[in-house]
Amino acid sequence: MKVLVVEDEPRLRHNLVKALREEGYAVDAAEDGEEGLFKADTYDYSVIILDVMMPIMNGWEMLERLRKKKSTPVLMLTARDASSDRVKGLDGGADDYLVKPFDLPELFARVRSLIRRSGGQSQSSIQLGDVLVDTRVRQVSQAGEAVPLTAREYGIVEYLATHQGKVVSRTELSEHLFDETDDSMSNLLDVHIVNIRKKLGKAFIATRRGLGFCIES
Amino acid sequence: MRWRLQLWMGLILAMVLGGFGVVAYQLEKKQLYEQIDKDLTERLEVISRASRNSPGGRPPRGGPGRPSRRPFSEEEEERRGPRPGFPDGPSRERVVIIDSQSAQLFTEETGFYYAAWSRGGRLLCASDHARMDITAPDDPKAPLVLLRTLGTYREFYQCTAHDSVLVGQSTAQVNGALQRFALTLMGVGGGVLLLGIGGGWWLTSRTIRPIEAISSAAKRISAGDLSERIPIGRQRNELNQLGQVLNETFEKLDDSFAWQRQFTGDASHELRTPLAVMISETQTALARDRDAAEYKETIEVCLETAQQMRGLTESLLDLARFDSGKNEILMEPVDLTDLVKTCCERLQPLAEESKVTLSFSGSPATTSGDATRLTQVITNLITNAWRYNKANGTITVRTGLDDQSNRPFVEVQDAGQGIAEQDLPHLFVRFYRADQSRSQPGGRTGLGLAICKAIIDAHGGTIQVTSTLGEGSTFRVELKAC
Repeated sequence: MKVLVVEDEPRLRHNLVKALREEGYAVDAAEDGEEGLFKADTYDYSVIILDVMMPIMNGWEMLERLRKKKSTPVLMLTARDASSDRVKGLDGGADDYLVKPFDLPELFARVRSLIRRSGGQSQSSIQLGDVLVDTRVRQVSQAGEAVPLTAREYGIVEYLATHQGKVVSRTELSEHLFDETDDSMSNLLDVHIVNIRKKLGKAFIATRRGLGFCIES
Repeated sequence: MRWRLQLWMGLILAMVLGGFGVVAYQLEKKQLYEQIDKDLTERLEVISRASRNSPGGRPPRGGPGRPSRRPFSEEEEERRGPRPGFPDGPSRERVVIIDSQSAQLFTEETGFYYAAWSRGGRLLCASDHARMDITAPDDPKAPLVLLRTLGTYREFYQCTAHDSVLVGQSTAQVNGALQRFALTLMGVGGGVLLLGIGGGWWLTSRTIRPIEAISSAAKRISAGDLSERIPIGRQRNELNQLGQVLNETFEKLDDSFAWQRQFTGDASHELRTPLAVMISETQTALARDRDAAEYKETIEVCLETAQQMRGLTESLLDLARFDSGKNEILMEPVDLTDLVKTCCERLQPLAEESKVTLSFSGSPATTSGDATRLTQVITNLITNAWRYNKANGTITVRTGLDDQSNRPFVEVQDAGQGIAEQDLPHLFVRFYRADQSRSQPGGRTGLGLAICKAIIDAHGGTIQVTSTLGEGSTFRVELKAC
């Protein structure tokens, strides 16, 4: 799952990126609306966390321009809490709205909820045969027993699980799992897939040659 | 108000009509009585003449020329009684003959009557329809024509050497006419009063309607809808002017409330953002066990953020105190040149560090003011010039006396990117930034220039800015001469 943080306050941006990475997301950051729009255009993010008041291009404008091309879920982050601002945000195409100062656990919950909804899920856990993916606590269990996965491995399982039955290409998977700071070593998708198969069984993830990977529903 | 207006109008109208009625009634009465008096005088003259020309003897009974004569019997005469002091004598035989032409003047239809008495008080003659209780005049000696009013009778009498004559008329008819006249007056007056009140009602309604519109609009505004305005008609009258003045007042109120809302919104934004940093920073740090270096970093970020909030709170308090006039400005002589020079010297290391040239030139200038506050302004302006300067730029600080106004001034000129024209008027507005970026690091609150302006305003001075994009900006402070 890859998240874009667009926030001009450097300390907050830095902290959000750090906190989201620790939650297991791949995170990109942009410090103004223009850069944010460029990145949102270029990559497919699972969620965009967007501040409203920014230099060069503010959050409203960036959202308006983004919505002409993409329907990436957007969580607006702002210090303005008048109800007219909320209405403007939601009407302007924002999927959720969070007022500063916010609690990090709430932000994480809303991000998870947005990812779930965009994948057509409404439950916080996904059952795949005897494998249960709990997105709330980011844990995978098989036949009632917890299976230890690394953050990367979990990310791959979650992404494929939310898109179960669909073939996910290598590029799409990498884009959603690795952010701009990841080095090429951790980028080795096949190594992670092999490790997951070792832990959850060979048939859990199917390889479609030339197309990508898939978890059968 | 409508009722009071109506009441006063009705009252005034009633008073005017009443006064008019009374005057008309009095005039009519006077005229009628004057007519009676004139008629009576003429008739008295006729009777007097007849009396003078009458022979001393008793005229034959039933003779011509005495159609209206009513002889009194002896018994009647006895009843009336002779007047004391009038001796009975030849006068007893005296008769006054009224010829028929004169008698025409005393027909029953005209209402006039006459009577004549001898000196002794014996009734000589009287018209048939004279009132029954007629008596001789009280003061027969008086030679003048006198008037007496007995009940509804008005009588003129004159006493001559031989007898006294009297003519009279009942005023009942006249009084009746007057009464009718009064009734007519009252009727007409009442009608006019009703008409007046009706017209007044219409007029007050018309006058009050715009006032009601104003009051209902004002009511809606006081209920909180500040965008409401009073509808103004096209005519140029007092009420429309009042409405316009009120609308302008509401406009200003609305603006000031909007400004207030903007300000509180900005202030809360400025305080919420560092709070968000602190909360998310500490929550991240507490989410798992970390090493000492990471905790240290978190604490440092929190400290920095808290200091930023402290600076902001102090600035806000400072401005609030300026707004309420609670910030006292000392007014003592200040050597402005020395003050500005000290500021430049203090900020020189900062400028050198970033390779910005800070130069100072000044001619002697003194002002009266608060040295600490003025230092704050100059420092702020120079810091801004340094912050918005380009690499290897220059800051030129000048002070002296203005050529024209002879007022002491300070100028801070930078070689930065300049300020766009549309931003210049808002530069001293609280929290205004040319771009929408907020929460800049480095203790910038967006209140610096607003505080500068508040300080200079409190000194009775002016602060202005001129700028050319790409070339730099010049801030100029002018103070009062010492």
